[in-house]
Amino acid sequence: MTAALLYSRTTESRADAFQQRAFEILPGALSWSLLIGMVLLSFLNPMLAAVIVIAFDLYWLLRLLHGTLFLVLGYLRLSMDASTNWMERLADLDALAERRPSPRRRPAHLLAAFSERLHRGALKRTLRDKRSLPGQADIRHLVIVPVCKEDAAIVEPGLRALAEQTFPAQRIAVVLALEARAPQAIRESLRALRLRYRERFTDILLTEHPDGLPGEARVKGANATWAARAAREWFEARGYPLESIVVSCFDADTVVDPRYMACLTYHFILSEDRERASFQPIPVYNNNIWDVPGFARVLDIGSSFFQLMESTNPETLVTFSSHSMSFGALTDIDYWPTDMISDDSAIYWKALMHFQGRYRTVPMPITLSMDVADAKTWWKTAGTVYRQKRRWAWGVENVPIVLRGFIRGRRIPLHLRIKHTVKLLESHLAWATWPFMLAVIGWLPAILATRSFSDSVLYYSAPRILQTIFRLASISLITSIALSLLLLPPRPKRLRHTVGAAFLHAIEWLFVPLTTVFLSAIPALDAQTRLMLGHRMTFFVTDKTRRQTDRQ
Amino acid sequence: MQTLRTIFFWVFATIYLVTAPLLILYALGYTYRTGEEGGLLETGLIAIETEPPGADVVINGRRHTGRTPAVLRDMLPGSYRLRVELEGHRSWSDTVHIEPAKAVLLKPILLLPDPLRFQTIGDRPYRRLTPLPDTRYALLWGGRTLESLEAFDLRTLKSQPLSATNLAVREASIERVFTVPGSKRVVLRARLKSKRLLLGFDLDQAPDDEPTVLQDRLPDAPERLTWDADAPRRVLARIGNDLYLIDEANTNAAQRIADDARGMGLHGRRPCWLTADGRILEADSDGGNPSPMNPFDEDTPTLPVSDEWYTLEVLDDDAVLLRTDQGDGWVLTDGRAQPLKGLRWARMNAARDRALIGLSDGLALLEPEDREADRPLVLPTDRVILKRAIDTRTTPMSGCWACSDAYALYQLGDEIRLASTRLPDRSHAETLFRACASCGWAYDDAYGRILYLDPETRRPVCVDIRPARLLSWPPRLPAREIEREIHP
Repeated sequence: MTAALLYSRTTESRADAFQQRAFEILPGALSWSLLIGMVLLSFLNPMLAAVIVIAFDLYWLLRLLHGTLFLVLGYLRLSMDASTNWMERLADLDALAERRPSPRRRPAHLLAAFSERLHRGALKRTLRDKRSLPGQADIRHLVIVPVCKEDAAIVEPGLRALAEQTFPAQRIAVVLALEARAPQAIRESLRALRLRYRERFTDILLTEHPDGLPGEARVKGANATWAARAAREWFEARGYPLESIVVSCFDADTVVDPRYMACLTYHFILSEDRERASFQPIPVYNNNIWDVPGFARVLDIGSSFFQLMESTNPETLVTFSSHSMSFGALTDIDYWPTDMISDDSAIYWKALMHFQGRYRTVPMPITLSMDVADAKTWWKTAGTVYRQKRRWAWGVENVPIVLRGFIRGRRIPLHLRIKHTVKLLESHLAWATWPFMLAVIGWLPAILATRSFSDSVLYYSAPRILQTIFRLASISLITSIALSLLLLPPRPKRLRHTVGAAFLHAIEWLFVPLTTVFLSAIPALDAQTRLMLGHRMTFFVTDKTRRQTDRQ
Repeated sequence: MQTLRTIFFWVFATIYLVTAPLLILYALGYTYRTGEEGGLLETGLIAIETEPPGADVVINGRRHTGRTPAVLRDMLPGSYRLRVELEGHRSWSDTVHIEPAKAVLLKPILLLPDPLRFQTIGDRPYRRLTPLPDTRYALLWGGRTLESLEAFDLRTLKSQPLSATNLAVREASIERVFTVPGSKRVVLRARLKSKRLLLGFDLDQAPDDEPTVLQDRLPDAPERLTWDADAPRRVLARIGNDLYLIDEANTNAAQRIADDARGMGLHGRRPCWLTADGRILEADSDGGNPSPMNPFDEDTPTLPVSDEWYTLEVLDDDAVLLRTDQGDGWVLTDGRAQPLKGLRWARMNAARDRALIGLSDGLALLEPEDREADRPLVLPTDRVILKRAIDTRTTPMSGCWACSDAYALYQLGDEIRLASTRLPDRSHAETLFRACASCGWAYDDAYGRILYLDPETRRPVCVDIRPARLLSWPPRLPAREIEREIHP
């Protein structure tokens, strides 16, 4: 079976098609069963419903506190390398390869000392295991930036950030992957960008992905695949080995840290079986975070927090948004799926299937910055955010393909299949139902109380228990508010920075129960229902705007 | 980090697996006690609310740490002597029986001020007073003419003559007063020499506003009038067996909407009536399209109608009360008609689907039985507050709801009494004070204030039985206005 067919919703037999359809129905059916079941139970047997709500809320609390604990650890891990000079570390790796001692450095603070200790430990292990590392001078980077309707104002900051890397930009090739259906003005502006920046990189390729190729949907993965194929020809023509090329697929609005490529190179060189790994930074949405309404800001900070938590769990970490991997591995698995919207996570699953479970995602303690979905008005922004979250939630399209792959891929270790299946189903179920359970359904037994329930001890105990649970949950809320204040970039000068503004930002979090229902749970339920009913989604390019002053 | 994750996963999983069953057992009322009779025991609880709040709770002689509102948990099954005390108020005590996993609800317990403070208003005697039920107003009768009638505001404690600048009309003698619970409107049927008058007054309007003249819209003087409290300008009138709908918004004559009716009432704003053949019809709010009343359209029982006039009162969409002036009638519910005897009066509480009814031999509640069982309203065989020990044919009785629908406040003879409609023991009634037996009395629930005529001097007296609701306006009486304090 070809790599393309191994991870595709295209089926080969009737039994396979039946399996695919059944697994497409599964996530939506689970979510709706839970929601409708709980509502019915609240009517028919409010006592049993109240008991289930208590058990669920306790489970939610412990998951929340567990998540918060690892959020803090993830933040500390990120802070440890906040000022790390990755080029110096790369020099240490070169010294190790040449069996030269590397210079000892004096860490600036305690967290940096921990980071240095981890680095030294990694060097020791490499020496002990007698692993040979490639020289950093042999590593080249390819950055693919798919563009559809984003203009130069969105793309240029990312290009400039790549040009200003601490890692030599001359070893970075960039592909501006343009959709053929993009407006002429966009095409022209990208050509101008290419001329302005190409001297600073190995080269900048400008590809045009034709619309409507057979077997393709109008998705970002198809464009990125087209660009990667063109880049492969370009590299092969120049004799560069694909194994030493690290390919990164960035969103058009991605702005990387100046140390990003050095950090990526470090992790790539140091990773065992580096051609069987993706490299995942922490996406933050700082580019325009102060220009968007509070609900959009809080939701995207929440997304960053989720990635921060996930980064502490490499065993089941799945790629999300902008990520990097070996170009050799990418060509082995026949690039990104060209008919799926969620190409970012699908590439991980595709690689996992292809390499029969011997594939992982390596978290990197570095951020890359993107735009929060934004439109001209508050309501339009809400609509844009809704569609963006629905597109993210459409990652549920991976569920049937992954489950089919796990059934076929018997050489993938069983414990890995079980872990991934449980996590995949639970995460989609939680995404679509938990906000409803917490904000609405959990209160139904009390609201619909029959006389026999309202005369029971449980009727009086349940609110007291839930109140205590929610009070304990506020530990997580306060931690999130504190971390969000630490993670956010400084407010632009054009926006007044006052105590009142900081206070307003803090209370944005109080609306989380509402925003998560309307702009997280409902879009997720929408996506699952579409998949359940067999309606496909088309790729929606999120509106993103940036202020003139920020562009300057 | 992975090792740390594994450790914390098992720590949190263990916490959940241990805590969840314990928490659920606790929620269901289980507690663990040591000792000989200890072990895992199922308990009950008592939920107490008082009005006013902040009272001490003493249970079996031991003071509970919290103050009301309070929930007394972990109560082992059995009987407990409970006393609730608040300084400046009468204490309340009772014996409560706790059952496993059950909650005993004592809410609200109305703690009466001790002593009750009575305030006499003015120095003029009155013949009687007519309450405008569920409003802050009452009518004080100095005599029988219109000019002797005063509108009294229970909140400001001020009265003013009913406005009628036409001097001749002011001398009209009042024949009948029509009021509707919750409406600040009063309609008077009066006679001036040979001329019949029908005048509508809005008590919350400016004093110099002229009354609405309604007699020219109708062919004759109406025997009964009613309207919806939220639409007081649309009046349903009975003349003989014909029903008329007066729309004050236009100047046309009243519209005759039914003839040969045997009873009438309102279902919201929709007129409904009993036909001579024993069916209940309901029209649109403008009187058109009569049709069998919902939800009785399919199984409407045909009632054996007598020549008497019936008043229809819709308790909720599932229940209708029909009664004659002689006290006979039915409760119509669930497609069935249950006969009702000796019904003197009824006070609805639409928000709670309950009615307080005065019977010839007692006071009772009509309320839906256990909603869970979806049972219809029950007749007051087992829910009588006052046992059948009084004869209201010889002892007049009137009543109303107090503290929302938690208490029944009623006058029996010359005694004003208070009885709980929610506490487990609903047979107990407390006498508050004595009032003129035949003069009428009024109660404003928002202010917890009763107005009555002193049995000897016939002067109006106000007494507050509970604190005003927080949002009531204007504020309470200043202390210096209190003229006397008496114990009942």
